[in-house]
Amino acid sequence: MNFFQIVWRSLRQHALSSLAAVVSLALGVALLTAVVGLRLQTHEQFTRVGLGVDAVLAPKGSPLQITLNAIYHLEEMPGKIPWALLDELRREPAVAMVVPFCTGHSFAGVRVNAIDRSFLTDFEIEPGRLLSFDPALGGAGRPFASGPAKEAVAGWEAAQRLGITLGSSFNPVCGVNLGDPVHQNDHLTFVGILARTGTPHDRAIYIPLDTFYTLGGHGDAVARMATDYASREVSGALVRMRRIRQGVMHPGVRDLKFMLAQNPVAQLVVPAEVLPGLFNIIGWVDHVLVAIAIVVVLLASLFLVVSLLNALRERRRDHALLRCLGAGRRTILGLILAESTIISMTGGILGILLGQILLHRAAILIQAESGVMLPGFRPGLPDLVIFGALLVLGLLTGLWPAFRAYRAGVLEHLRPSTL
Amino acid sequence: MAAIEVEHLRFGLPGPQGWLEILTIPFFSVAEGETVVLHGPSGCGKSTLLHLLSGLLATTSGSVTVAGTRLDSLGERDRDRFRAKNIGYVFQSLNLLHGFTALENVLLGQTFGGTRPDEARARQLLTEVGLGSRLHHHPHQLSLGEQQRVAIARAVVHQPKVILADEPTASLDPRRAREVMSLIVHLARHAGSTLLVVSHDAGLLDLFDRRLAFHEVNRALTAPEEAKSTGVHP
Repeated sequence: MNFFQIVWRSLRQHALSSLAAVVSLALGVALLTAVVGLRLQTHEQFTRVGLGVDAVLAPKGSPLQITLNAIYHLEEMPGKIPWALLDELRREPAVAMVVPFCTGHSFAGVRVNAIDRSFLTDFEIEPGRLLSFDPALGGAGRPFASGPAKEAVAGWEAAQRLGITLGSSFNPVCGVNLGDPVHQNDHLTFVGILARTGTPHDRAIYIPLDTFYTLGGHGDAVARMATDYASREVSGALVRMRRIRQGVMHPGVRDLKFMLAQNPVAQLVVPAEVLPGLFNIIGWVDHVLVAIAIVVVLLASLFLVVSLLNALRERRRDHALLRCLGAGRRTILGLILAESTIISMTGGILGILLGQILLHRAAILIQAESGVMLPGFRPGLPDLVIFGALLVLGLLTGLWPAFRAYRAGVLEHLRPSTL
Repeated sequence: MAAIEVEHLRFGLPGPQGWLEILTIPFFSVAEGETVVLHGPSGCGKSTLLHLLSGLLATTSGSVTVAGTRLDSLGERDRDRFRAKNIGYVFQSLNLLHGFTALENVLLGQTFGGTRPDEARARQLLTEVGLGSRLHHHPHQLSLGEQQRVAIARAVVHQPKVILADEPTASLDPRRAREVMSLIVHLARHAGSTLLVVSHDAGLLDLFDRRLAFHEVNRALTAPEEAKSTGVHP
């Protein structure tokens, strides 16, 4: 019998309380791992600079609402901006590309975004990476034709969710809410499915911007915009700035932002500045969740102390017998500390695994809701820190019972009276 | 040569009415390989003497030499190490650790002495004590007599120089008691260990080389008025 075999037998002897302590620690650690992981991954993904969008030219209104609408296909645009502003912006030397769009339509719960064709052909979602229709990545078909074509392209996830195939058609809904009217006479045919990008771009259906103005039921004023650019309005425009050395965004974006702030109807929103603000707003939720997780871990540790103390009461005679067999006080101290450490270690490992599974499930949910693909299962440094902290906590937890066992006398636990 | 030698031993404890003298032993010795039984009534200090000889208790004064080592000059850690290597101990009852099988309980006897574990010897000893078919039984699956046999196997498994047994048959019926006591004596003789047994069972005294009435050894018993409650710390 070696030291660890004795520890193992002892744990096995109190299997139920040891298991309960492991499970409660595992649940606490799982919660903590999942919350911390989710916090880090969402922050990292949501603040990743703009998914190729350096700025959004948009109506006056909440920058957060605009960012969520233009990039994440959530919320609604607060108004419209005149086409003339786009022409002005295109003339700015700092601007590389302007992609106008009109939001406000949907199909079966998926947003339908009327957008300039250049988005599908020339827009870099990452440096050097365009949207594609590569079949190896789940894509198919081609971009919709120029002009007011009755064609559409589905993002990868939208196609998966709605079972869209090339050649299928749909009637867009004029609005994004349940019960909004359907453009009954406007059948649009899917000619392309975008390859998967793992970004919110996967979650929408794209139709030609020119087609938007030809949809029936929008009224004469909108119909005139199909050809009359002077009166044309759009929801906004995705803006890509020029790059200066080493891929750094042109600093002119700040001047443009300042200039447009003076405009009575439009503004330039920089998503990279807006999204961290979102995390400031919801940051307290993170803190509350982390606090709850820490309380759960501490309660589990308290449970471990109580179960160790209870086990200690039952095992005084065992410890006394071990002392008679030559085990020193330090050996007894070590046995208890080893037990608490093994329980903590097992709880920690199980908790981190469970936490990663939770994180994976949460990543699937978040992708379904926001289109943002989180890495999900990715154990990393925070998990190691949590695990290390738990081991220290386990040792500290075992100290009190261990010292009680260390100081316990031998003879009084061997016989009722030995004198 | 003496395996156990006690000289001018005094041991006492603080009591409610002052210092309580429990043992006063001018001289006591047991030769190497000898089997000795100490008999006397309960509560006269027999077990305390065994605890002093095993190093579980420290003397108040005097010398205790066991297997050539002066225990009274050792600290607690050294006494623990000494006990692990040189002493085999059998108690009255509840000798076994409940989470461990019979075999594991015996192996525990080899655990703390720093020697290489010898499972074959543990198995052989359990077979010798008649438990070869119950190696993997837990204490609650064994009778009291069987538990004592396991404890005896554990006490001799590391071939200690001295085996101490404290009323090892007290919880057994007379027939079982004689069987168990005979077994202890046999195994001690076979291993060449010195055996000191404390017992108040007069029917078993004939099994030993030497029988000592404890009141002849312990002067604290023969002069109770002067020695038992002096009120002065020695």
